[in-house]
Amino acid sequence: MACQQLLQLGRDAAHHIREECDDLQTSSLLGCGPALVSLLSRQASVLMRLDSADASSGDLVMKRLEDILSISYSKFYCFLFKDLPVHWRQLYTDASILKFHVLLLRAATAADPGQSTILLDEAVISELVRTLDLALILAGAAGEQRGRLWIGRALDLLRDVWTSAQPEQAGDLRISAKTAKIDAKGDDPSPLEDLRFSAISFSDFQPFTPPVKSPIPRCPALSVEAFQAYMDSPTDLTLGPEPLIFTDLVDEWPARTTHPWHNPSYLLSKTFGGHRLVPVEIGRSYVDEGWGQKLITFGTLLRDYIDPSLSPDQAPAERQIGYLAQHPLLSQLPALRDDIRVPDLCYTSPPPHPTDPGKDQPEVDEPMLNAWFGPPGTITPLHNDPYHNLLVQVVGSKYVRLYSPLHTEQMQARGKEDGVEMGNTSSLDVGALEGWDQPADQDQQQPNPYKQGSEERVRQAFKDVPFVDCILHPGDTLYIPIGWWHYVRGLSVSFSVSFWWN
Amino acid sequence: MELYATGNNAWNQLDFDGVADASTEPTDFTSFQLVLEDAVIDRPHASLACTLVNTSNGIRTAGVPEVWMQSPSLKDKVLGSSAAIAGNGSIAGWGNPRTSIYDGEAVKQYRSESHFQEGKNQATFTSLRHVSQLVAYETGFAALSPTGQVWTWGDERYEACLCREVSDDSPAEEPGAVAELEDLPTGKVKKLAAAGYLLMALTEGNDLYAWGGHPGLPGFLDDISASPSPVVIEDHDVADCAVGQSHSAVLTLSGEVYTAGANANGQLGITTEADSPWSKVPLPPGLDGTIVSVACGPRNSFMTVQKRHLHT
Repeated sequence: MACQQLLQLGRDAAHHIREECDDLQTSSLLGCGPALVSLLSRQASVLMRLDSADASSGDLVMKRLEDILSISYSKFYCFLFKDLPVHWRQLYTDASILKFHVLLLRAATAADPGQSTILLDEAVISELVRTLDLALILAGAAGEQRGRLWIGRALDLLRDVWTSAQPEQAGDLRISAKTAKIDAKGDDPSPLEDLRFSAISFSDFQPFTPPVKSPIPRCPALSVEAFQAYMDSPTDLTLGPEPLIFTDLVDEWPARTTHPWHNPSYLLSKTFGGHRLVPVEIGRSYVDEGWGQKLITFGTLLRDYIDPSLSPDQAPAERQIGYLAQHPLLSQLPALRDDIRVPDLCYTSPPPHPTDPGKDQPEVDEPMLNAWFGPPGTITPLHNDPYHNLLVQVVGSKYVRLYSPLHTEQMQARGKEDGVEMGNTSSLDVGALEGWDQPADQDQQQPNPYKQGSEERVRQAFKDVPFVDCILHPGDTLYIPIGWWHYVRGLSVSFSVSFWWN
Repeated sequence: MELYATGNNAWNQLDFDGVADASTEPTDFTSFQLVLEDAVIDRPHASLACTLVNTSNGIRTAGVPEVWMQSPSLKDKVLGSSAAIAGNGSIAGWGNPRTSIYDGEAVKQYRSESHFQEGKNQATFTSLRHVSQLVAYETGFAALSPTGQVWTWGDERYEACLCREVSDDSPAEEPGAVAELEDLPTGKVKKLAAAGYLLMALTEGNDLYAWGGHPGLPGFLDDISASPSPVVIEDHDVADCAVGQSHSAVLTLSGEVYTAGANANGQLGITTEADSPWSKVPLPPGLDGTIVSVACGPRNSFMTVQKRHLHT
């Protein structure tokens, strides 16, 4: 009885939240202050008595939980994320957990006052999933007692309730037309019926393919020992290890075989039929004017941004590029995490930054995983990262160009922009300098190398800087050593996973 | 005098008489209601969960006191506008943190309430030795000098709130004078108000200016930018102003109150669910007197009223 289990999970959470809050001095929420802790505790307390769902007191609880969410959310902007005290993230997460329980109680009461079933129409499902996804994405599901573990458990049970309530849909992964309502921004998307996607792949349409001028060596995967030796004994001792492509490192990944990520239906089946919420970058490149981030459902991402050819009946709308970039998607969706394997090569001891020890980060326990999922034409501008990176191409193709850290002087690094440190990003637009793209309209306040009469000089100087480049195909793994400047361009629908380690 | 209030009451912070039934969850006020009467009622200070107000009977408190209110000197300074607490927990204060002595003391900034208590200041701003008002917004501060000059400082990510050019010589984190608020057509600035990501300045000639904004969040007033723009409410002269987390209240010279912004907790005192542009607030039934000031907590609003019969 997943339904009863889910309700019990919520009751237990309310019980524990109240207990923890009432012992304020030991509470991990202490930093939020007594007023907010007592308000959360009172809502948990009301919820524990709310089983016989009294609609009116449920409304007040909901309002107070919304208050707590909005108060804690405002703190997320007050601080740089790294300085944000964890108690604010936990407060947001616990309030989200209680909100989820209120929504569930309402749905259960509506279906059956005895609460043996839950009425899960699309609107309810979308609100339930959204509530927990916001806690995962915005607050990092903080909290040792519940947090990510509780949310994962709740989503698993919710999925069981949902699929058992819709046996006719459980198998064929269809998204009904009503799913359209779940759009996070309240857009009014057209029906999703065509997203049945039976056993097809994403389009392999590749509108533009840049020439590869200085190809990176390709080889079968090295053993851990051989890779360690490769990094320890570089050809150029000043430079350190150089980029390399492994052609067969991930051949055994389920994502490339039995659980194919190139199949839209499969991805939908792992995202609650597309209901899950994901952060998407809107705009060509993060240095462009008008670039922004928003949260949309995975279904909307697929249909409206990644591959419009999946719904051919729909008139193609003129849309900006949407890119799910640098998001820890695989922690948010553990089901997809099971489809990949952290390469053993990440359990090596790579060398420090070749030129600037100040860039080296404290050692990480586990590699940091990020997902990169977008349509043709996504651009990650020329930048460098403070970690070594294995970039695995799972679906589609990407062009990558790399400049060594020895040429950092010529990369024209940006500075602080609007209080945000952009020093790891170059002000050079590779696509524009190569003539592949029109230069983007840049912020007038920024020094603009193209508009200072030195356009040609910049182009010439840049042309002379040596680089290596490649086109990554499905199954390829690119090793990007720490500090190497890289420019990445999606050529087709592309899904990559990066592993940062040190 | 009378104090009227509307908006968030989740902590009974609008209940000065302590009459609320402790067994039920307090509800918000959706219109201005009488909450306190006294011979003297100053403009209240409302934090998220607590309201403080100076009366002829001393400071009256409603709601759940914030941790910083345990410090009597900080409480006095905040009520007297010589200290202010930003949304990120930073405190700016003028004068000795433990006493009410101000002479020769520069404005200092403290990372938190406990640092204030211990006198562990993070910065001392010797350029600011005389301050007639200190206010805080979400990530910074503004100060008004006795000569009407406005100074701002805070998180450089929200440069619009600073209302001035940030440079190496004039960094965001140190007070810098706001040139655009000097030589205004209706005289110098006599009052500041700030909260959230909105700041306001009121001139001696009763013009109101606003600036600020948050790049990622929609503002609730039109035309808010990094440059002060006049707040126009049907040609009214403005007598007083106040700013909450995402709303604002204005008292006109003709004695009317207008509110704008978010109304999720009833803080506008009008009947609208959604965010609202400037709307005239209906006078509370039974109000017989002159509204003399307005104040905003993060999610509620207040007006003080001089009762008519006391004058006649």
